Amino acid sequence: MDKFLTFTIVGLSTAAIYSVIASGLVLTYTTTGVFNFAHGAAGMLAAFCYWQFHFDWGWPTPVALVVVLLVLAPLFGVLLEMVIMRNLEGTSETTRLVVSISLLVAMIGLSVLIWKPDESRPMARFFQSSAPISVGPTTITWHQMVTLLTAVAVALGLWLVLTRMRVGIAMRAAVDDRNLTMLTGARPRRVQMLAWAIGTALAGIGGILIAPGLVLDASSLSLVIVSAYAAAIFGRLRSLPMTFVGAVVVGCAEGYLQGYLPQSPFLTGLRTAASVLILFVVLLVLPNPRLRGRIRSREFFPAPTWKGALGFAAAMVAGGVILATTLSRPDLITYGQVFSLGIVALSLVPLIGFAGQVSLCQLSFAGIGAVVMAHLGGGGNPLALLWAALIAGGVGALVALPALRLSGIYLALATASFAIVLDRWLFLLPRLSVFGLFEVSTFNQGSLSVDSLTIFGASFADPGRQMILMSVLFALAALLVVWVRRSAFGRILVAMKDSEAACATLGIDLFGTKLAVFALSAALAGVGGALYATQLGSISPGNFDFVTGLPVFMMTVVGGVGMVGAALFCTVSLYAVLPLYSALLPSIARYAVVLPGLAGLSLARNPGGAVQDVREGFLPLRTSPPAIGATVGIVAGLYLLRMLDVLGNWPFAVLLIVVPMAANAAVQGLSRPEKAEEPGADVPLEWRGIVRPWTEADRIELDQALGVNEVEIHGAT
Amino acid sequence: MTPGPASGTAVAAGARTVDRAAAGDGAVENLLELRSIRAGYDRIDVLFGVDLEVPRGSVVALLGPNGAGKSTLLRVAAGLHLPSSGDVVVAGRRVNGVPAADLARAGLCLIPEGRGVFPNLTVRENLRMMTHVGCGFDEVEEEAYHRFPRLRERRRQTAGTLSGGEQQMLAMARGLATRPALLLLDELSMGLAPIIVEELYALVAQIAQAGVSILVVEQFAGVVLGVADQAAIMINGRVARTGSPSELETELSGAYLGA
Repeated sequence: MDKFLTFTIVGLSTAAIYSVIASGLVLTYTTTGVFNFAHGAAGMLAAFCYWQFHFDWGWPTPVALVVVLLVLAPLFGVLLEMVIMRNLEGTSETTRLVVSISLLVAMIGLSVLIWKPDESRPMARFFQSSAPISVGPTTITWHQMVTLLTAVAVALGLWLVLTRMRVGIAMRAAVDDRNLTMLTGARPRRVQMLAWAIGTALAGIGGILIAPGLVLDASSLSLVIVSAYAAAIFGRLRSLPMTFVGAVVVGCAEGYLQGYLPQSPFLTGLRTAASVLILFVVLLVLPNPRLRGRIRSREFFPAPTWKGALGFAAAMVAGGVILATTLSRPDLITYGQVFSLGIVALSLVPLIGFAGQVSLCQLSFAGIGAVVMAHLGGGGNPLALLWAALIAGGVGALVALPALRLSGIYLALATASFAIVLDRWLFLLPRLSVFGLFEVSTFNQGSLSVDSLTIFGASFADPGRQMILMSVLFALAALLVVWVRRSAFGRILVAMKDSEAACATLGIDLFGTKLAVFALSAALAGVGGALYATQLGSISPGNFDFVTGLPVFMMTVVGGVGMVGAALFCTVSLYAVLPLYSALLPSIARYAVVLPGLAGLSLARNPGGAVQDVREGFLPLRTSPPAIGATVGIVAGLYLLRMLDVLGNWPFAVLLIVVPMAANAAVQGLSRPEKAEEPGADVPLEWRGIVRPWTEADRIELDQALGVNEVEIHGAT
Repeated sequence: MTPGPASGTAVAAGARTVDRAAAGDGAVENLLELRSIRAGYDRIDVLFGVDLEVPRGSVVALLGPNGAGKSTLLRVAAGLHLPSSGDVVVAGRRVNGVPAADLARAGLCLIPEGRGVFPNLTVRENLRMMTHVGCGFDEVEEEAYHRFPRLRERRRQTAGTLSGGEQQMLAMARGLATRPALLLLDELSMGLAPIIVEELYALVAQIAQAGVSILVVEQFAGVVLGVADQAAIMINGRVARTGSPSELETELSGAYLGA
């Protein structure tokens, strides 16, 4: 009984913290429609600031608390609203997701930048020196007392604000109908800013209360708050009372698991993963959302052509050969990940880009592929790749099965929780026998070694050959994705993204389609992970954890997730440009940690993606076969010069970038004078034939503008 | 809802507000003037140079078929939608780009199409939202419950659970209780039983008697023409015809058929 009481108190005080954090999350979600993945990170930053002021600089507790919770946190919230969240109106849910995840990554980066992660930062609990209060057979520490009272105060305060104060009512009104709120004379902007200020302050309170019980570490502290998400989901992200109920359920579950879970290497991870499992289950039993109708979106992606796809594949292989023959051995190892992780990024294209289904656990599928490779790919057996695809695809379908009813943020949360369950529990398990039938093993509580591939007796241990192999496989995977997009299945996927309701009326089997695309995408990720593992040689769970996977997701979406090129954009920027940047400018390399986050934030302004811009920019070159031929010729010549050691690596690399751009500019320059020669291009269209005679050129221009003939339109207008 | 005979308080109050709104502008003829308004969504134009005037103290009916741009015009007038060209003049002042909230505080009240209520707030909370324009909560409550006794019974209920007619009453309560100088009504009759529509329009007539200038948009003309002093027909983003209600009544069917 004593034990039960003790752990009830532990559970309730945890619940109190979760409820504070979750209520802040609900507040910002309901008022702005942005599910803030970075909510936990805001709490983490608050905890770090508090540590800095109170424990490092020795400010008195009240001063530090006031500065953090009443000044810094609200200001930060207002800043977030003004700079970022405001621009998200009218964007798709994926974009909002990416922006808030980018914020999470940027904030973790920021804290690592300011507070070096390798130092230990002990944080004392509140009133740590005071004797605990005895309650019957057990005791409550003052910290627990403070926590519980804070939660009660927050609950009461929020209730008062939201139902008794006009500004609180306006907050809820803005959720219902923003335009109507303006029509009543309220100012939704201010209301939203206030909501963000309060929400961020609540995250701060939670962060400061929870940090002393854990290690003050940026990413773990940001993710502990996933438990708070589970609480918020209880209230379907809307109802505050249900959120508090959810917090009690999650908190107590964690408390009792801590007290009663038997000591076993199989179950230790379960304790930390418990809240995530609860999140997963709650997501699944939520009432089924209705089929979505047409979604207004500002994001459109063109269907790829075979010509373009083959060109892309050829360029990838050529790129692989060039890298393999010009780079030094250590550089090859650094940049070798571009193509293998490129396949993982590629797996997002059919899933998010075509089908509109969000997954945050692609790198976890890659991890499964890698484990399969380690166990079955002894001696570099390429058949293990097939197993990796099958097993990862199977797990993908299994995960998708319950998650299929979900969409948008709910799906994102479900996949994220799956990834975290893997991180915290399944990947940490020792060898495990399932009912004595067969044995399953993951990382065997350590790291695994993986042999490099051997295909038909040819070994690919050498990083150069590996690079070429990977580039070929990446090119093949890209062609596969293009084929999927151009097949009947691809059309169904795109139709499903546009309107599930319309698809249902056409008799399309949504369930099977979603299952298939999840399995396909997971299989692709599994192969990518397996290949990545052969390159690494030794893998550990850390290579495939949730936080590591976030930048891949982000940068692919930033690239424009409906296009194959986005995968390349993602891995080149993450695994080539970033390391290069750090190598070139070591003095500011530390700042590189925030760059992917900042890139993700740019998506709020340009939801179409970066690859689209590049594609459009290179339109003149792409539509001129002679220019393409010339460019390829020049690049080949440059490569020859490089091979003959006439050119060094640097001039070669610079020229590789400059040549296509110059060719593009040249083609554009050539086509422009033609236009200028047109007689009277300055005369408005409706006056031609009136103020001057009608010419053949006018007819062509009109046809082009109307798209009557199949005339290629040259040059940007 | 019985818009009873005891509507004297609102009549007086309404008149007061008009004076207040026009105080600084001397005698402005038109409370609302739209001058060659063009507007659209994304790249699709909806309005092609609309001119419309709402003279002080009169009721103007704006009629037209689905998709004519009537609601867009009201959104432009209320500051929810920025016109691509043209001027919105309220009480003699050009107000292009003035936020909707500021216009609302200045005495312009748009009751939007559909139910102009917050479905997840209770009736009382909906009424509380009406105090943003500067009137007291007690006044608002008194006025609303006086006009629509049913709302008092339902004051703790969430607005989304009210019947369609009750929701429209709650929406109309804003037009009454906040004492606007200019009232814009968008499709009051939408989805309501004819008897309720009649009652609502009887109320509109009373508000008009108090001196409030009103612009009413409707697809179905019959009910409005009885209340209106002037009418205009809008087709394909243009005002096709203006005149007295009796003049236009005969032409309406032709206008709807695109003649």
